[in-house]
Amino acid sequence: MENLQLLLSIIEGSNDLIQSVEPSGRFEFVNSAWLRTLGYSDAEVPALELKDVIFPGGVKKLKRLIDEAHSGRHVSNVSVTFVSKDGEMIFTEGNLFPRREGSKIIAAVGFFRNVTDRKKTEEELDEERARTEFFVDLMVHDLTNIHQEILSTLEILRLSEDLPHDLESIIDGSLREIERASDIVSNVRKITRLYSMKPETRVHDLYVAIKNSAKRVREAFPEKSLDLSTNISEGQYNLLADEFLEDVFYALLHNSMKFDKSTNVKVTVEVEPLRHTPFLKIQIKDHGPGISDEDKETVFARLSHRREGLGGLGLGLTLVKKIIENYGGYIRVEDRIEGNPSKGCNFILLLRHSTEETTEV
Amino acid sequence: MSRVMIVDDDMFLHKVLEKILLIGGHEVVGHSYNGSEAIESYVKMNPRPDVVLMDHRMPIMNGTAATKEILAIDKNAKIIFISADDTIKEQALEAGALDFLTKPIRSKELFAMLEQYT
Repeated sequence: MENLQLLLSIIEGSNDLIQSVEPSGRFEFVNSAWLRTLGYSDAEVPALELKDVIFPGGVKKLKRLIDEAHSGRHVSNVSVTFVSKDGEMIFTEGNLFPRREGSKIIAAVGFFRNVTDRKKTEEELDEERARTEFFVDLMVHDLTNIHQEILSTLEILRLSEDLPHDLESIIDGSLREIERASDIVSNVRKITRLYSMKPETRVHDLYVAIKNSAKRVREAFPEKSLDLSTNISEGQYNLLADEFLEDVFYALLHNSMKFDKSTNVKVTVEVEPLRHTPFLKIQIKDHGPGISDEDKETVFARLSHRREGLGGLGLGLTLVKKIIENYGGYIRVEDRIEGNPSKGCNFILLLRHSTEETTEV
Repeated sequence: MSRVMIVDDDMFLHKVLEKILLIGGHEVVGHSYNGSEAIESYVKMNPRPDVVLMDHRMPIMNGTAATKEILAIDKNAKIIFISADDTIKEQALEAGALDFLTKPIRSKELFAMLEQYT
């Protein structure tokens, strides 16, 4: 008797919709949450059948699942849409199992969790995401075309033989600003895609990615030289990544170039497979001023709102971390020489190795 | 010196690109404003252009669809994409484009690419 009371209080105290349905489709039992959520009184339940409370499009499917429970099976991960007395749709997820008396199955019991709020929030988020992507995409496309027109017009002026000499540097400056604006637009698109889309990964050659990034970094710093050494060669290691892979190496190499005061910047990239794991350990070591122990904790944690974060100087370490995490990887920073932060950084990346052939374009 | 056909839905871009190309010693032999027009013009041209500069996002027919059609007509057609949308680079190359330039492009990039392919 005490156990029964305990069971009843658990069932009645639950926020889940609990029901027991006979093979006829009538309700043998429903709990308070069921009544409360669907807006029926206890007295109304005997007159109800399953089809009266289920969204019409889902009745057949649920009947089939309930029949499975009536035949003795436990059915899990069931999604059911109820319809309340006043016509509101209630989205639930739950399980069904048979209720036996002796060897006979007399009903199918269902426990359903109300996920309506979660589902509505997910739908709103999806809509908002789609709307943002649409507007960002439109903005990026249209602004880029406008930038092209302005840039080409400035180039036409710049190439003109009649251009007064004192205007040359102004036009050169304007060309740089247009390119900077264009980089900002490009980065906005990248950031939006990083946060809204699952990466579409394909196989990339690690050496080629590093080499291409180094080339871009050298072009960004014409007054310096990058002395990059690595222990790997083309074709040696492949990674599963998307188009942002080169941005990762670009950002890290760019930081090395930017913060190292010497004109000949030395960076070493060491790669080794981690045994018994699917990961490659990639260490990018520089000889710059390093990162203090306090900053190591936070260097990946803040999204850069400074102009440089978006203004063509790379995506920022927070976004580098996001890209790597999208690949199922990991990044941290240590001292190049352990215990001596002022002797340069060692960025350690763990990225998933792929044994497939590259699909480089 | 290359004979170039420009395909883009932005009319002002045609003007500035043509001027840039002229400064670089190239000749613009055709202007089309969508993929469908580009196919029609390409077929009628004799001689055909040395290279087609193709945008992607255009009304009626986009650049990748037009590229496939042009290459079906003339497998030797040389098509270089100039597009704001770098996400379609792979698609463009799979369609048969020789190369891809992401807008905004500088004249020296454009001239280098024309020299490489013509």
